[in-house]
Amino acid sequence: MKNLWAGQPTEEKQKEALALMLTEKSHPILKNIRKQLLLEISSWLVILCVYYSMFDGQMRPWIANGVFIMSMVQAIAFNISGYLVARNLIHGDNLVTSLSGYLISLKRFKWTSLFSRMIFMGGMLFFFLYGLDMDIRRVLAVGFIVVVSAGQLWFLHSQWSLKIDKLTSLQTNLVDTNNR
Amino acid sequence: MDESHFLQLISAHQQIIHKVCRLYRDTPIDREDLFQEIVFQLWRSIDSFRGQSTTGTFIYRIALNTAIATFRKEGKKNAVSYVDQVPDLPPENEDPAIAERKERLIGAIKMLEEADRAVIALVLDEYSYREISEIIGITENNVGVRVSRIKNKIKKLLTNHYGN
Repeated sequence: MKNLWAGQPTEEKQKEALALMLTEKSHPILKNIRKQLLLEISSWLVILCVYYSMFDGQMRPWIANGVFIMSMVQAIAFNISGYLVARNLIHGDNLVTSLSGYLISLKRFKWTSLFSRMIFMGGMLFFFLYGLDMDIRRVLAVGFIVVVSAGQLWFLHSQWSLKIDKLTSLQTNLVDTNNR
Repeated sequence: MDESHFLQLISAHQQIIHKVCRLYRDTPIDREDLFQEIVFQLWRSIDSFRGQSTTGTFIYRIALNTAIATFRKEGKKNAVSYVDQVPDLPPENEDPAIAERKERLIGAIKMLEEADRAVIALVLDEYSYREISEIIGITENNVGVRVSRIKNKIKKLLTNHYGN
């Protein structure tokens, strides 16, 4: 088996090609996250710049404007922290310790992600509904938005849970000698 | 460590990264992406390497950690049999029978649990149980138990699929 393993065919990479891999710019996963991040942050910044006149910010009290701005800013900060989590995969001197550290940071990130989404949705609703007379049609519309948002949160939660459960079972598998 | 020294190190040990990529990814594109990710993580972690372990041990640890921790598109577990996957081209002068046996071995290892793949790769690259226990973070005794169980699994897989 050792001889067969040692002679596996591989393609030799030159140092120039390896050098390109050291930068975040050419990183396959981070490059895509960064593109998405830039797109989202720039859209939010544009909204922040124009919301005051476009969404009647001047006609609302400072608290509604403050909540709107805080909701946007925390969403931007959360996106940046997501990028940093994706960059840091190594958390220890061996696989078991490193996976434990990574799992802790993923679990923290999962809850931060859910809270950030809730704050964002809550902030938007607060800003746009502030001072509005609520008739039955509006109440139904808000109810619909809340249900859709809750569905999104549930989906987000289950996606994160799937990833975390997979890594947790892998970590258990690494430590457990009695499995199958 | 400066960049040119690091590149020299990676260049000399790139076989390790290639092997880990083959074990944990199925398509050439996914392997290439993982290769880049591993080199990037090695570069970020190189300052923590102070020579307590060998360079190979360090590279294996970061490579396995990266392969396991990064998320990829989920396929159905073991849904695609290894015999269906396109094998890498063997060297031109290689005996086709040996090339086929290599593919079978890789195929069988890829059907193991991800944790077992890491252990058997280290065993096949002749790392001692002590080194394996340091890389994985389990006891030497635990490594011994796992290795004999994994070898039995591989034998069974090879016998069930090829009858040899």
